[in-house]
Amino acid sequence: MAHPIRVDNSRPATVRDTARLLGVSKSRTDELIRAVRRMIHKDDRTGEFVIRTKNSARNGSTKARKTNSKRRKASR
Amino acid sequence: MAARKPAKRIRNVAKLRAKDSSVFLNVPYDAAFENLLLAYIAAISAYGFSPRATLEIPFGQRRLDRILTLIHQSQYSIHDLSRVQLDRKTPTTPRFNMPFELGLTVALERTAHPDHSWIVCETVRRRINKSLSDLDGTDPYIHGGTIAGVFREMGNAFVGSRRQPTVTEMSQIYRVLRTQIPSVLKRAGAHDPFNARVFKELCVLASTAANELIQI
Repeated sequence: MAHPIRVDNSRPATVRDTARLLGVSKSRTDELIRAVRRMIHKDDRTGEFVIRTKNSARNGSTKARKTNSKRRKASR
Repeated sequence: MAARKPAKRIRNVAKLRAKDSSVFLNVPYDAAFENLLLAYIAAISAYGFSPRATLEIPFGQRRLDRILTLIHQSQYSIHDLSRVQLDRKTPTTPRFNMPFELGLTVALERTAHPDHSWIVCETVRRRINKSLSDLDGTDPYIHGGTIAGVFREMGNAFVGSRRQPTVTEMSQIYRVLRTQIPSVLKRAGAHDPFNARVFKELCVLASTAANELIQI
């Protein structure tokens, strides 16, 4: 069995730590943070995080499923 | 005069923290490995570490010196020795960079940097026994060349870490990277992520997603 990495359990790196370490500017870091925050949403019902990609960029308030059958359309 | 000393100490602590949290990533830089590079970045960030790679090294600097500095600055390193076959470009050669950097890491660990911890990853089980028999006694992590395999093996490698993300959370970070990569590439005028600027921005994106998704 492969030996695991000896982890010293220091605090997890923050976004600013990573950006500073890699030399990404503060303004660009802010842009990247905004871009990620636009994609991550918390589902109110389940409490789980949902990643919204551009393809699934429907607004939560609009309908999520297309009505396919004529009968279902008529029953509305 | 007395006020300057604590400031210096704080700077040293900040350096130590950066060193503690970075993972040197030694992987092949080819298009077929793009998915796995993103998977490694997602997994490393999910565990609360900052990925580092030789991709960061600008041209013009003496490369070997910078590689040694990067390894020395990192507390951990992951060496993926999946790419042992000949490449397609003439003259066809295998890539020696990955085993060479692993050798540098082992030498550093045995001499100047004894608290450095490293692991080896492979796609094919038992292949490393033939390709690098000097590593006999060191079991590699076999990811099978899949994204899910990388997440699974990183979970085994960082089993002692304080932050324990689920595979679902790592997949979510991966999805964020996959979605954002076209805009990052376009902005950098690049065609693949094997580029200093793209790599750095992907790491920041992954770190942001990890901190948003994993609440520890």
